[in-house]
Amino acid sequence: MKFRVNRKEFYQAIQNIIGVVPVKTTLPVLGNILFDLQESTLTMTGTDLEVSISTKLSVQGERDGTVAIPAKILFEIVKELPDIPMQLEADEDFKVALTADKGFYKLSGESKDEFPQISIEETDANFEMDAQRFDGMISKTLFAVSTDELRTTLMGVYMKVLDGELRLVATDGHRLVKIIDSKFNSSGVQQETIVPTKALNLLSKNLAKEETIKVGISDDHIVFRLSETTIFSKGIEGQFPNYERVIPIDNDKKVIINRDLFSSSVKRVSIFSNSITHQIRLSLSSGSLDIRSEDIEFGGEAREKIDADYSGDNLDVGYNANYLIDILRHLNSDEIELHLKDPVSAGVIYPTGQEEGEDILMLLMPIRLNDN
Amino acid sequence: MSRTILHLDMDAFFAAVEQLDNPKYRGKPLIVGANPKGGHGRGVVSTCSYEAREFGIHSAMPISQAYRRCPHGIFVPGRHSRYAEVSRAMIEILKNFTPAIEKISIDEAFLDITHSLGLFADAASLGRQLKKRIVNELELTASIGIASNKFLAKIASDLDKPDGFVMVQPGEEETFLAPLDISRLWGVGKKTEQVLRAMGIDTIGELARRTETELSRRFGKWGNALWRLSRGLDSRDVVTSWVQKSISQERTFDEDTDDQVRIELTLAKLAESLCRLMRKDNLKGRTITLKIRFDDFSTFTRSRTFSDFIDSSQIVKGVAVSLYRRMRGSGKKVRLLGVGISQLNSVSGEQLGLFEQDSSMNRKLTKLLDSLQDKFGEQTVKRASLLDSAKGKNKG
Repeated sequence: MKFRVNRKEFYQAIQNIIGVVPVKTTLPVLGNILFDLQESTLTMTGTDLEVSISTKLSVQGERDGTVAIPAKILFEIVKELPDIPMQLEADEDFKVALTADKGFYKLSGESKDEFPQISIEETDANFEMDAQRFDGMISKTLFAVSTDELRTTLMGVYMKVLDGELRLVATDGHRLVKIIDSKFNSSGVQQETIVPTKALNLLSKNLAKEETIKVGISDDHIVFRLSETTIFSKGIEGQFPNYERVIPIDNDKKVIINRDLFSSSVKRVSIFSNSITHQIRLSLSSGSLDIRSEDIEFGGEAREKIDADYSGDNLDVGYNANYLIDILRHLNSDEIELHLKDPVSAGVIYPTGQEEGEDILMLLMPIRLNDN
Repeated sequence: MSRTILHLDMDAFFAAVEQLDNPKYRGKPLIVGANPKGGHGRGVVSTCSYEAREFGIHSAMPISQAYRRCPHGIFVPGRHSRYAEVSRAMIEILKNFTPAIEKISIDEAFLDITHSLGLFADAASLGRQLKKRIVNELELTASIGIASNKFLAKIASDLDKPDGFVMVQPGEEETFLAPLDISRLWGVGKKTEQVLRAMGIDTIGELARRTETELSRRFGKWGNALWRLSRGLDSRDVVTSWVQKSISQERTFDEDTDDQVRIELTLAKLAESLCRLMRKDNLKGRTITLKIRFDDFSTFTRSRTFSDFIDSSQIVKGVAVSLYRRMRGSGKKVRLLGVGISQLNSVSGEQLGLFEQDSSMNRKLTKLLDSLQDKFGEQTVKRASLLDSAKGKNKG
């Protein structure tokens, strides 16, 4: 295999797929990226056996061939090179030589036979949509995903295709985001799967310059097709929890708050909260919202009052400030609506005025206050 | 400001409770601890009666040695829930004398009685009344030391055991300490003791006559502390409540083992009793730690931290087992296992969960099990997963 390529495009392509390469693995060959050159098309593939990504790049091909190259070291050297043309050549013993300007670098690759074969299976439900819109939906859900290995089904975003509706749900058991795209054109096939965080992070990285994305879903895998890049991922096994059941419908205490003011107040007050629980207390009274925290261990406390459109009974509720800040950051509207019932039930947060064709809600469970 | 501190230490506590509950044990050498197995047992003595002490038996002695010294002694395994019950009754009595109580173990406590003295004729009469109530209400004896600080009070309570009552009058501190052997000093172990004796120091008085500089040159910071203690100086307060940092449970196997089933069953039992302790104190924790000691005494700990606060024994057990599975395969046998939890938080301040209703049945079951075990002992009811599989094993 032998080709010439510009450093800039080459580095970009490696950067887009390096995220899949596992840092620690029992199968060392997964530390490689598979390079496959056919004429002027170079296909680079990486996998951790759960998630795979491959991307195509136009190069000046001189000799076709296939070889697996150590990803980390290649990434590091290309990263440090200036934007100049470079040449990459692999011999029959899988020794890889990289030449750029005055530099010469040699790596030990491996045979393609050592690298796992990725076969992309057929999918049941297939649709195409605006890439930026899809990216927006992912970023609004991904933050709420669990990192807790105790509940593996929460370690990804639940994706469901219905007729005329695409639905994404993520939860870590304390907060939940549900977002529905109702401008959605589906094939009419209903399908659902849980997409692991890693696949969505990779996808998000690759979506920036894309116009459309093609998605294919089966119950145990999912495929994302972009112009030059394909991501294939196994779905997380198991049943996603019954999220509809935990979305409250009788939260009658409704308050409207300016999102920026609320968020910056919470950030300041949370500096004084307990470092383990990050507990803050929201006290609602007619026309205003009090945000308070105290750290009994260190004797600090903070209190802010902001205007709020509220006319119901007084109510105190405790939240983890970090969760609340996360939620406010992932909404776009100027104002938000917070619907509450009591200090121990989930609060529902909506943007005031949904964006067209989008229906989003977020749930947040309280922290039990000492007085209840 | 001068203070008056009382140290109370129950006499041969576990053994005394056994003799109280079982009249046939009274007046006999009684050893509470591991099963001696005819001299081949592997645990240690946790407490023994004064009758047993005459055979040279003491706590922390290997049980096999205790057996050799006194093969006709009565060896019993110990009933910790019963001791805990008596201990709680003891604390209730102490509360009549001062609210400033620092419980340092199941049978030992410091009391700051500085502000209670007005209610009694003097410290001595308070001490005598306290002893009397312990005898009347618990039918047990305690040894008491009263002094101007914790260190002296503790030494005093130990001087005249059992049923001791020693007071160190203010101003008499140095005279009181001077004749005592240096091994009585807090923190002086075998090594320091050897060094001190080599320096020609055998009594606390001899130590007090050295200069602080000499001791700090020889022992560093520890030297300054030694010098202060030798003069009876100790400014620590009686700490009535403190933030508990961690809870743990551990167990030594009778015989080193590499039997996976047995090891995992033991982890499950440890997790169960750990979580019961947590629930009793209304605590939840976020970091679960497995401690493992192999037959060559190499000891390892492995931890995992979660975003949720946990008090469920099923989760703690699952985590302990998975931590263990990652560590096995060394070919070594296991001698000791421990399961602990830290990053504790009280249940108020608990992050509530969206899907917790799912486990509300399980919570009710846990509460029921806890209350039954509190009433009737740990063997009454258990989860089926904790039943010893050996009993119903049917290999064929």
